[in-house]
Amino acid sequence: MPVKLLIVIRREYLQRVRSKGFLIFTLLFPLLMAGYIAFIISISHSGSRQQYRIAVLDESGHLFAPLSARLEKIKFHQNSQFLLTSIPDTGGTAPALAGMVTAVLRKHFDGALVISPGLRRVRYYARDVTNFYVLGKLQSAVGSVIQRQRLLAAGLPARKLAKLLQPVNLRQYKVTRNGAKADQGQTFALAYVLSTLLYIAIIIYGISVMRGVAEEKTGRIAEVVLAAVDPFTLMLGKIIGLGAAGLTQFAVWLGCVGLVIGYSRMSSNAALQHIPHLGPAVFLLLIVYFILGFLLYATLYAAAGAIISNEQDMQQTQMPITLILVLSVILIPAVLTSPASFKAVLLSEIPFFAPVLMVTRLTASHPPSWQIGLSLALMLAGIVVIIRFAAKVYRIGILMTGKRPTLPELLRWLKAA
Amino acid sequence: MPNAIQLHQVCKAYGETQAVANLDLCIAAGSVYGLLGPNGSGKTTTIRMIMNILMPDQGEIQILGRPAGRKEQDQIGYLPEERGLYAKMKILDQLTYFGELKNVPRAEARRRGQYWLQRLELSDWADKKVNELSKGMQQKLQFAVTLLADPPILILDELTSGLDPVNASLVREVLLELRGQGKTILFSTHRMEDAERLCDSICLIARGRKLLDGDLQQIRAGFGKQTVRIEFTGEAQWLHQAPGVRKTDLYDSYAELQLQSAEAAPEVVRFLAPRVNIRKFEILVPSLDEIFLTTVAAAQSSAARPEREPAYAR
Repeated sequence: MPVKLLIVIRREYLQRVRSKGFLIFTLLFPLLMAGYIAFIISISHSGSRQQYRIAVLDESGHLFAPLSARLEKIKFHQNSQFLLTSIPDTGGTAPALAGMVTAVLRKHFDGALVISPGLRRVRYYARDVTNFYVLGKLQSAVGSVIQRQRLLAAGLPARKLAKLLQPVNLRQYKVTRNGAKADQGQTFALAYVLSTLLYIAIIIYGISVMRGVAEEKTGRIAEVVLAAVDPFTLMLGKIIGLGAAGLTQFAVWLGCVGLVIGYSRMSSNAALQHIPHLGPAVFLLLIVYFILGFLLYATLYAAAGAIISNEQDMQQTQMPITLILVLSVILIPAVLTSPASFKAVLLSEIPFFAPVLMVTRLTASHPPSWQIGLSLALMLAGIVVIIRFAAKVYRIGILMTGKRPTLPELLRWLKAA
Repeated sequence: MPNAIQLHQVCKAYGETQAVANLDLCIAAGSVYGLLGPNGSGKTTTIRMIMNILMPDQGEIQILGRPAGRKEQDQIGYLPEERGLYAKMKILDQLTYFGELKNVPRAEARRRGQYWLQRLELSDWADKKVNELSKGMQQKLQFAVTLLADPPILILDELTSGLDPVNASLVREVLLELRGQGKTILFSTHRMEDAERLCDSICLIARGRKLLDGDLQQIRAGFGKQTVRIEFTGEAQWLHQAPGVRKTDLYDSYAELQLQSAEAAPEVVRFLAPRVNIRKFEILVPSLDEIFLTTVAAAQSSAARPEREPAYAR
C-alpha cells in the first residue's frame, strides 16, 4: 500500500478514535444491550407488584366463589394478582351498577364485573380496557367458570370436569440446525437489534465521511493536501480510516452481543436461556456485511461531500443516500415476518439493502450459502462501479467553489475524463 | 542548472472561460519571482497546474527540468491563497501530518515542526487546536506547514494577507533567509508593495494572458522615462510651453511633466534652464502599482469584451 495512503488513513483513524464522541457512543451501545436483556427478562416474568381489584356483581348468585378462587390463584407479571370483592345487589341492578362505576372512577376498584342471572351476559367496566393481558386472563377465567357451571347444570359429574376443561397453552419454538428452541420473541428482538446496529454504524460513519470531505473542501484544506497526494488517495484514505474507526466501534458492540450470548449459555436464569445462539460464522458475516455496506455507502457519501459548498447544502445532498438506507430499515419487519419468502430473498440481494436486510435474515433464519455469496458478490460489484463514479465526481468537486452542481452538470462530470 | 519552473504554451479553460491562454513562464532557480495580476486573472489556476492539482489542457510544465507530476510535487512547498488547516487538529500534530505527507519521517517532522513554531513565535500554542488561533497566527502556521519539508521551491499565494506589520516583517525576515539559502520563491499577489520589496523578476498576467515579464529593474526602467519631476522657482507658465510635454501637473513645491517620449527629457531641460530656476530635475521610476494599473488598463481597453464585464456594470 502506498505510504501516503497509510499516512492519511492513520490521521483519519486516530483523529476519530481519540474524540470524546467516539468513546461516548461506543459505551452507549452496551446500554442498549442491557435494554435487550431487560426485554428478555420482562417477557418471561416481570412487572411491579400489583393488585387488580375487581368488584363483582353476581346476579346468578353462585359464580363469585369459583371465579374468585380461580382468578386469585393466577399470578402474572411476576407478582400481580386479582382481588375480587362481591357487591350485594340490594336495591336492584341499576343502582348497584351505578355505585360500582362510581367506585371504579374513584379508583376504589380497577374494574367492575356484572354477571347476569342466567349466565348469559357478562359485562366488564374498567378505566383501562386495553390491557390485553388482564383482559385475556379475565376472559378465559370467566369463560371456563361459566362453562363449568353450564356443564354441571347439564349433569356432568364434577370430577370429570377438571380433566375435560384442562386449558391448552400454545408454545412457540424456533427450529434451527441445533434443534428446536423455545422462543417468545427473542429472535425477533435480536434480529432487530443487530440489523439496526448495522444501519446505525453505516449511517454514522458514512455521514462522517461526507462531513470530513466537506470540511476539507469548504475549509480549503483539500488544496494543501492535494499538493502532496492525489485526490483518489485522499478520498480512499478518508473512507478507509473512518471505516476502520467504525469497525473498531462495531467490533466492540458485537463483542457485547457475544458476551451476552455467552453469558446466557452459562447462566442458570431460565429467561436468558432463550436468547438465540449465534455462531462465530454469523459474527464474521456481520463484520463482512458492515465492511462492504460501509464501503458502498461511504463512497456515495464521499462524492456527496465533494459537491456541497456549505452547511445548508449538506442536508439536501445527503438525503437521497440516507433515504435508501432508511428504506432498508423500514423493510426489516417485512423481511422478519417471513425471512425465507421470495420477496425477502429478493430484497436482501439488492446491494443497497443487503447490509441491513441480509443481517436480518442471518439472525432470524438460515439463508442458504448461495444467497449469502450472491449478495456479497453483488455488493462487491456495486462498490467497484460506485467507486469509479464517485472518484470522478470527487476529483472535480473537491476543488470547485461556488454553487452546488446541478444533476445535468454532475452527469457531464461523469462523462468527462 | 535547469530552471526551477518552466511553462511552455500552457492553456486551461473552464467550460467557455479561458482561464489561462498560451502562457510561457521561466523561473530561474534561486530567484524570487512575482506572479502578479488582478483578481480572476488566472494566477491560482496557473499555480494549481504547476502543483499538478489541475491538468493543463495544452502545453508543458517542467519542474527542475522534469515534467510536472506526483514526484515533482514534493519538491514544492505550497501556501494557497486561503488558509487550509484542520480546525480541530492540534497545531503540532497538524505540522507533523503535513510534513509526513511530504515524505518527512514522523519524528523528524515533529522536530522541525517544533523549530518552526518557535521561529514563528507560536510555541505556546503547540497543543492548541487551530480554531483557537487568530487569523494571523493561522497564517503563520500555514507558512510553517509550507516550509516543513524544506523544499527547494516555494509557491506563496498572498503570503502576507491577514498579517499585522510586526508579523509581516517576521515573515519577510524568514523569506530573506530562505532566499539566502538559494531557494526559488514564486510569489503570487496583487499587493504590489510586497512584490516590490522582495522580487527580482515579475510576470504580470490578466485574463490568463501574460502582459509583462522580466527583471523588475528593467521593467521599471522601461516604464520610467516618461515622467519627470521638477522642483523650481519662477514662472510656471513656461512649463506648459516646454516641447514634447503631454501633460503638466502643478503641485505646491514641484511639478510633474508627462513626456511624449523618453527622448524628450534633455529637450525639456534645455528649454527650461534659461527660463526658470531649476532646483531639482528627476526622471521618475514608476512604482509597481502604477505599472500594474497602466498595463492592466491598457490591456483591458484593447481587449474589452462586454460579456466579461463584472455584474455591477450591467
